[in-house]
Amino acid sequence: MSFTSFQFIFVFLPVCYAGFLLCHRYGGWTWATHFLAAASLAFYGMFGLPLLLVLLGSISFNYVAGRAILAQEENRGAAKLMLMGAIGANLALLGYLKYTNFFIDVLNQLGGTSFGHHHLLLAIGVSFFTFIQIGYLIDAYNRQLLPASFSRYVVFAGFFPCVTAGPLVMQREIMEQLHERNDPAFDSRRLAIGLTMFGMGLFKKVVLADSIAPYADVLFNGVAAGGAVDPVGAWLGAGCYTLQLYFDFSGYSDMAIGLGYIFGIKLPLNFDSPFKATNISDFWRRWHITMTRFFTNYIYSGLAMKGMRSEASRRGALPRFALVAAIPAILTFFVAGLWHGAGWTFALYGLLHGVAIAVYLGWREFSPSRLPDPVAWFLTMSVVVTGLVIFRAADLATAGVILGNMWGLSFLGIVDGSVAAAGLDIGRALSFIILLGAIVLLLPNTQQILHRDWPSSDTKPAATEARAGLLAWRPAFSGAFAVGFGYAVALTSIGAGTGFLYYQF
Amino acid sequence: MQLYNIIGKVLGVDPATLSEDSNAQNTPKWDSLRHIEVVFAMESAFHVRFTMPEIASLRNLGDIRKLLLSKNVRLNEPENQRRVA
Repeated sequence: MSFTSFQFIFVFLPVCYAGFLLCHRYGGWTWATHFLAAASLAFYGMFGLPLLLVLLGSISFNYVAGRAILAQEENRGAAKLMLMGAIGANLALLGYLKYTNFFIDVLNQLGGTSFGHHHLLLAIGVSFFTFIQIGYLIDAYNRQLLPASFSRYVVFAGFFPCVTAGPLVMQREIMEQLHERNDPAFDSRRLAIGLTMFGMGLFKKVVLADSIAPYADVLFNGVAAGGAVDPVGAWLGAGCYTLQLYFDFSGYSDMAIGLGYIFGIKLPLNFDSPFKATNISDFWRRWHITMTRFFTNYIYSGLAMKGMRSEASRRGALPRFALVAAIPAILTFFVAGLWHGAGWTFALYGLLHGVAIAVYLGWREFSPSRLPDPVAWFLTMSVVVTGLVIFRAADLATAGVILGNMWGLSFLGIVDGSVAAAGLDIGRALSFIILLGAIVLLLPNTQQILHRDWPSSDTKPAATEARAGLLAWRPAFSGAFAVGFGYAVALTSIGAGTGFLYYQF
Repeated sequence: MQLYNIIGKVLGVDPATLSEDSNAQNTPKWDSLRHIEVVFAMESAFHVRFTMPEIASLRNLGDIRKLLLSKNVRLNEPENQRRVA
């Protein structure tokens, strides 16, 4: 059941909210939390009973494993062994559900064998709840957890706003909020803010992302099917996909954060105007922020610290840069790319961003000059759009044809640059890019508009208020009218669109 | 102001702009690479070594101070100069 379905908006959400308030009335936050845990399992169960069993198995196993690791306070060796075993079990589940057929393909190509594909469960959100819990296990080993009952643990690892596509929460940031709270469950302002954020996300997804999606699909599906494309068509299609993915995934994230807020749980932000970034490192602090945080905390920091302490890093600035910045960044992003799924496109996507970050950090460390902002922005967006072409393409060959046209390689005869643009309506695609591009570059983002009631568990950045300007939300007629109108447009647009792009991960 | 000076130097910012609450989220230039450099600068300056769990527990500059003090590091700064934002 998607957040954009009528069943969710008009049945699940009101029933869930009423149940939550009732439980709180008779049993306080303890029972309200029990209810949220049960409602979260019910929500995921609607994707199918086998999937619910996978989630329940994963949650139960990790809850017990985390406690066992915590119990080994004196014996760090045993704790580490348990951590490795538990992470291995999580990766085995993820590997089986997501990567089996990819490994079969690789085996068939390398060994000339012809093993058939397995019919696997399409486990929605498996990458998300698995990685949330791997983070939990590492935090248990690092003794960074707060006490949690099983119900609270379910709300952390399987909370229905986050279970399908994040944000990737950390145990501590959820438990801090559930611990010894005595605020009322019903808060009209919290409900208004949460529903406003949910509505803004809904609008971003079903009105903006779904409107531009067909123009991206024409390019990517057309080329994958052997259709022709020219440089203009390639750029427009790639631009449309870049904006589609942003509005789709940031819309989803806004809806998730708004839902959490309605139920009194603040979630971390996932997007912060990423297309305003002027370097690729800054881009990743603004795009899928909780994923960046996860891989930075659990992979990059360890690798970089090892590099920093190594003998080799004392041999000069260049070896030090390689060991502390470049190699850890490339490895981290390579893994982050593969996290999205099994396929050479995801591996190359991660590698491209890792190399781009290494180049940026190298420039920052060794070059005395700084690029003017417009040039830096253009370079950053070039990497982003190029990366997303690889990310979206059905295979490397499709990505090669589109990128070859975009970057003029067709003129060199490296790829075939045909004249037709695979049936793309150039005028409409360009209009959408200009309109949606203006929204992302000129308007404040969701959390900036809602800054007075900051709906996230993250600290509010200092410049937020100034960025919101006249668009800052307040409980007044004008705001109510705008939100109501947005809901009306969004609700009448539901139906034709697709599911969230990140559900596949 | 030993601690602020070292961190300010690593980050390339004026130490006067730092506070006990400073961290990667609210301080320009404090990114994940600089964070590792800050930690290593602490290890070198005070001849201590942090474990990965300790590094993972650092949420802001105040936590770095607490961690150093827990390792019996003597910080040459009077109590009244510690700024709490």
